[in-house]
This record gives sequence, structure tokens and C-alpha cells, in this order.
Amino acid sequence: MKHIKKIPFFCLLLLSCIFFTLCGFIGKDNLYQSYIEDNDSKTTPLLAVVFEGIHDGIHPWDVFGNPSPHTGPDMQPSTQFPTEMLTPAVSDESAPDNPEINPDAATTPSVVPIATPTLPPAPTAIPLGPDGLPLVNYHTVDSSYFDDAVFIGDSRTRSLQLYSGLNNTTFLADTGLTIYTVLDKQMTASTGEKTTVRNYLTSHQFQKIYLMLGVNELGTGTTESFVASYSEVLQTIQELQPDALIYLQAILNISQSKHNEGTYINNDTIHERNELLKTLADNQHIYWLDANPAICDENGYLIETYTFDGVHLQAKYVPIWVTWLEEHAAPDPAIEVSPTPVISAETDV
Amino acid sequence: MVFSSLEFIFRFFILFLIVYYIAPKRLRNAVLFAGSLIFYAWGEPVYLVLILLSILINYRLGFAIARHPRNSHKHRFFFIIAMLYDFGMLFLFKYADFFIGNLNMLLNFAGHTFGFQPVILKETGLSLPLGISFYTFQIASYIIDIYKKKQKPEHSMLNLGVYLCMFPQLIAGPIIVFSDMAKQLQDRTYSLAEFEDGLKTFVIGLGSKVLLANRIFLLWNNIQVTGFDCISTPLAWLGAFAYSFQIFFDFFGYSLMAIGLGKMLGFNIPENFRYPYIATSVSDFWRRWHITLGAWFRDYIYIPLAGNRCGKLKTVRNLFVVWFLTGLWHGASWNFIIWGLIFFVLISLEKFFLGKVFRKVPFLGHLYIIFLIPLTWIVFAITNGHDLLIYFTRLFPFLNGSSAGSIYSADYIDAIKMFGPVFLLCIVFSTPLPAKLYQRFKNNIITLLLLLGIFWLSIYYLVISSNNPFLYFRF
Repeated sequence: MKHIKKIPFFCLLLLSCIFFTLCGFIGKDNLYQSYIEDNDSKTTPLLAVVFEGIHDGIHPWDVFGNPSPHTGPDMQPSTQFPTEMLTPAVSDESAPDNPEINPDAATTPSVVPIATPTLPPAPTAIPLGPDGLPLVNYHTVDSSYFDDAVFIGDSRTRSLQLYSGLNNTTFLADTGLTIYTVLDKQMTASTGEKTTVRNYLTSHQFQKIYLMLGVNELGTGTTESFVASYSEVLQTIQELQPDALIYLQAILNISQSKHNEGTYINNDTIHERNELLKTLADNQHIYWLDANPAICDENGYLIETYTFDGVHLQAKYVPIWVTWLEEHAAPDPAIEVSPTPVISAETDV
Repeated sequence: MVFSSLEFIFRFFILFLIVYYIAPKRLRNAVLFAGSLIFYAWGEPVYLVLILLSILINYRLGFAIARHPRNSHKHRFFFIIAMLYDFGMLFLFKYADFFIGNLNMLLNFAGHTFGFQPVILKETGLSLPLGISFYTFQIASYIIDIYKKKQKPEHSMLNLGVYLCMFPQLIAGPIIVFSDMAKQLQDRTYSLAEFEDGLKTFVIGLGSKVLLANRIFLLWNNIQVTGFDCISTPLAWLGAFAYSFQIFFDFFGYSLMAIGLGKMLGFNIPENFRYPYIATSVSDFWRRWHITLGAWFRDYIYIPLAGNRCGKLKTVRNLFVVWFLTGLWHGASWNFIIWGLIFFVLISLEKFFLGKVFRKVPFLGHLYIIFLIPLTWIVFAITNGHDLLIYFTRLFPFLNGSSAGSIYSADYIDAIKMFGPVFLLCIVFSTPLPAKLYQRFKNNIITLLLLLGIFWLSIYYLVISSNNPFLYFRF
């Protein structure tokens, strides 16, 4: 006891270590199961899961309370529901044994069939492009085209907002935005208004909606679960903005050096997701825009000199993207089936 | 393995500490040596051979030098062999490719000018062994002190091994000279109070690295992501300050962690930083920044060259040598040499007249340091000459005669909104105030709880960034 008085800080530290480890241990089969499966126990202490939990809104004391998160205050499948938690659930075989931490998991697979019927099948009379979608005769427009447009996206769209010089349009872009948080995350619109995408699209009507999300989600879920969530979001946006053209933008590729790091941020996953994402477009109401050819080399890598981190375009190359968008304005819906020679997005660049 | 990792704190160090204190006192050096080798091999098993060879060779040569009388041929011979080996290895692994690259450029140029086919030398492609710059300087100080008969060679190879590669200061210093360690290696006192103190020091260092350096680094990273061409002048300055804080709190934190770990094991490791950003001149700054490196250059280069005792011309020459080498020590690239030479110019100017001004008007000195040091860090940070020039035209837009560049002129307001609080913390922790308060209320329960908070908040950030780099660098 005499010794303990000399090392109070050490004792505090030790006790808190034991506490967090205990929390991790108690919750290892339910609350924290998904984290534990992801962690390498050789290098990561058990208590790490408690902090991962805190990050996702699960408090350490939740493990002592009611073990069933269905009734727990933080476990409601609200819009703030931690997206990371869906990851293992969707991709994981053991998901059915673990229903309490993934209330959405059961419904996820059924989302695709719900959403698909809302996309009318492409009329067979329209010629199809190499991407399997109807060919579109894109127009080139000037930047006033974006007057009644809104751009929704993550930090990549944010660099468009900051460095495109387009100040006649609206941006709802936020760093770290994902398809799971896009509708209800608090953000600052380019107008300065604090809002969410859902609220903003309810109170304002737009003619064109540019959507690009998907890089933050690469480590989350599967291609199918990602596209299913995307489909839901598209449906909501269509309900809120029935008159708008929607431009569904392909996830931009990353540079070779970033790709070679061998993390889950890689072009193979991006390509796979883009391929499935494309099926949500019909090129009549929802247009598929793949700007990658404009900024990538022949192997599909984001050109190394255009980027510092391998993911974002540096400010001075953002105009390439803007120009590309200006060259890809969809034809007026009234004259949408155009008999004139068609140009596809792929051959254009 | 770095100190600020879950692996180190919750795996390596806890296990090591238990083994270290279970072992009887006479075996603790062996435990520390073994632990240090495991620590080193964790990240770099191959180069472990190099550090072991260095211990063996210098141990033998130390005796060979000591055996012969001063100024005898053999005395000098073995000394030169030791220096050639130690600095030769450093050159081979750290500077050979830089040297070959420059030589090729020179040959190419000569070939073009005089019309011959230049021979292109192949680069070695060797990677830099962990900590080689630090341990080479440590072992060189040991050999030089023996050569000067200031130091007897260490009889225990184990003790020499512990000196050279004890894990608290193996990778990033502080650089300790052997004479400071000799006694502690033979016998050191262990006390619970020192242990507790060391633990607190470690936690402060961890917080400095994880909560300050890593956070403010994001601003510098954002600027690089945007590209230097397109940032506003205020943002360029904020970037320079951010990088200055990042490099300070990173290195300071690492040194503190080393000192803390040392204390927990019964060692006294010298301090490496003393509030460098409150300096009033560049000379003053270098007495406060990376103190052990400055002392090494002073004791083993500057003073042996006769320092400032042989007239102005020789003083300038000696300063040039010291600062050229200081620059080169920091990295094998021209920007580091230029960075070192900038200090040569500034310190020479201060020695002969500027210094008097700053001593009289310290306020001017503070202003000079606050704005000048970040500029030197920019030279340090940007290894590519072209990018460096661009950054300077952003800092000083009149340099390129136009204000073009910044597309989004309010970028710095966003940066202030996002990083303002971290900036404030960095400023406060660059002054002696927090340390004074800490010394006074060290054992207060509130201080203990604050430290506990710092520790777990650091762990929180480490956890969420280790598993998911995205959360740290979100897109």
C-alpha cells in the first residue's frame, strides 16, 4: 500500500487499462464482435475495440447494461447509425448469428429488387453503347448550364466546389461523406446554409443533380450492398426532385502508386463498383458519366502528376473535370431520342 | 515499431517491462540488449546485422586505439580505420545514391560539353537502415573520446551494445555520448518515483506526437493535396507555421517519450529541446533545438577545428563546415544542404553584428525567429526545387510579379476554422508555461486525471487511425 501511494498515475493507468480490456472482453461476442474479427490480435490490444466502438457511438458502459442492443439507446437503426458497423455484417457469413448489431443487414439484400423496378428498362429501339447503356448525344454547354444544378459528393466534389471557379451553382459536398450518410449528415452548403442533403433537396428544386460518392465506402460492405444503398438514395432523390436530370458520376480512379499500396483503396474495387453502379443508370432519367478517361492514363490510373495523395485532383487540374462535365450535358428531355449520329462518353475523350 | 503505436505500448513495452523488472539487476542489461534487438528487428531484421557488426568492430578497435600511446602511428591507424568503417557505412547506406546521382549528372554535363560518351554509374538502391544516423554519431563519439584519451574503452561488450542500441533512443535519439552513459550502464538506481515520473513524461510525449503533431500535420497535408500553385498567400503562411509545429511536436514528443522510457528503466537521458520557438536568434534557436545533435557537432567538429579561436576567417570556415554537415546529416538531398547553409549564413551574420541587435531588442529577435524559422522549415520540407520555388512565390506573391494562382481565395479562412484550436494549443505548448504549471502541480489529482485523459485520447486517435486510414485522412 505504501508503494502504491508513490505511483498513483501508474495505478490509474493500470486500472483504466483493466477497465477497457474488461469492457472489450464482455462485449466481444456481441457489441464488439465485428471489430474483433477485423483486428489482428497479435498487434492490437483487446481494449482497442472499445475505442472503435466509441468512435461509432457505442459507449463502453453499454456492455454492462442490456446486452441486446435492440433496446439500447444507441443502437436504434437511426440515420446516424454507424456505417462501419454494417460492413462486417453484410460481407460476413456469420451475419445471421449476429442480428443485434446489424439491424439493416436483413433488409439489405432485398433492396436491389425494390429499387430496380423504378428504373424503366431501356427501350430496345435505342442503340446501346459499349457500356451497355443507351448511347447519348451529349452537348457541349457553357458554365451557365450549372446555374440550376446541384453537386452532391465527398471531398472530391468539394475540390470541385473550391477550385472549379463555378460560383453560379450549388454544392452539397462534405469531406468523408458516404452513400450511407449522404442524406442526413449535417453539412454546410455552398450557400453557407447549415443543412442536410435531404432538407436542402426538400426546400429547393433543381434541374440537374450531379452525384459522386463511393471512395470513402471502398473499405465498407460489398459492391452489392454499396450499390443497393446507392439505389435507395437515388430513389429518395428522385422522389424529392421529380423534374431533375440525375448525373450519376462514376467513382474516379486512383493513381498507380496509391493502387500499389495494396490497401482496400484500389482500382479493382473501384472498377467493380462502377460496373454495378452503372446498372442504376438508364441514360434517360439517370445519366451515367464516367470522367475517368479524361483524367486517367491508358491503364486507368489517375495520372500521377495530377495528384499528390493519389486520390484527389490537385486544384490546378480541376478545370479538366469541369470542361469534361461541360462537354457532357444530356440532351433536352423533350427531344431525348435523337436521330443524329451518336457519340458515346468513351469515344469522346 | 514506433513508440506511438498500439503494438509498442500494449504489446512490446508491457511485456518488456515485466521481464525487465522480474530479472535480477545484474541481468537487466542483457534483457535490455535482447529487447532492443527484438525492437530493431521488428521492423528491419536485415539491418540488425549492421548494428551488431558495428558493436563488434568498434568494441575491438576501441581497445586497439587505447592500447597504443597518444600520437603513435598505430594509435592513429586504428582510429582512422574505425572512422572509415563507421562513416563509410553511413555513406554507403545513406549517401551513396545521392553521390552517384550527382556524379552522373556531372558526367552527363561534361559529356555534352566536351563531346564524349559519359559512363553512367549504377545506383545502389539500398534502403536507409533504421537509426543509422543516430547510432553512427554515438559510436563515433565513443571512438573519438578514446582516441583523445578522454574515455577508457568499455570492457563489457554487452554494455557497449546496450549503449548503442537501447531501444528508447535507438531510432530518433537523443544522441548520447558514451561518457554520459558509462556509469548508468554499470550501476543505476531504480525508484518508484522515477518510474512514475518517466511514465508521465512518456504520456506527455505521446500526446505531443499524437494530439498536436499528427493533428496539425493534416493542414500541411491538405495543402499538398491542393497543390502549391493554387493556395492563397495567407494559407501558404499558415502552412509554414503548421509544418513548423508539426516537426517540432513530432520530434519533441519522440524525444520526451525516449526520456520517459529511459526513466522507467532507470536511465537518465538528456533533454533534447528547450522551447526552441521562443528563441531570440538563430544561434539561440540551435541551442534549444535538437540540443544533443548541436552539442555533438560542437564537440566533435567545431571545437576540434579550433572553433572561433583563430580569427574571423577560420571561424567562418568552421561554421561553414559544421552547417554543411548538419544539413547533410538531415538527409541526402540538396534541399537539406541548402537548409544547413542558410543557417551558416544566418549564424555568421549574427556572430558578427546581428546578434548584438537582438540582444538589445529581444522583441525584434522574437519576430525574426517566428517568421524566419518557418521559412527555413519550408526549405527543409519540400525536397523538390521546382515545388520549393512555387511555394516561395505563394509566400511572397510579389516574387513572380503577379497575384495569379489562388483560385479559392478564402481557403485560409476554412483552414483557420478547422485548425484554429490546434494552432492555439501548439502555440501555448511552445512556451514554457505548461511545463511550469506541470512542475508545480505535478502530483495534483487534476494533473493526473488530465494526463490520463491525454493518454486515452491519444490511444483513441491511434486506434481509429490504425485500422482505418480513411478516418484520419478522410476523403
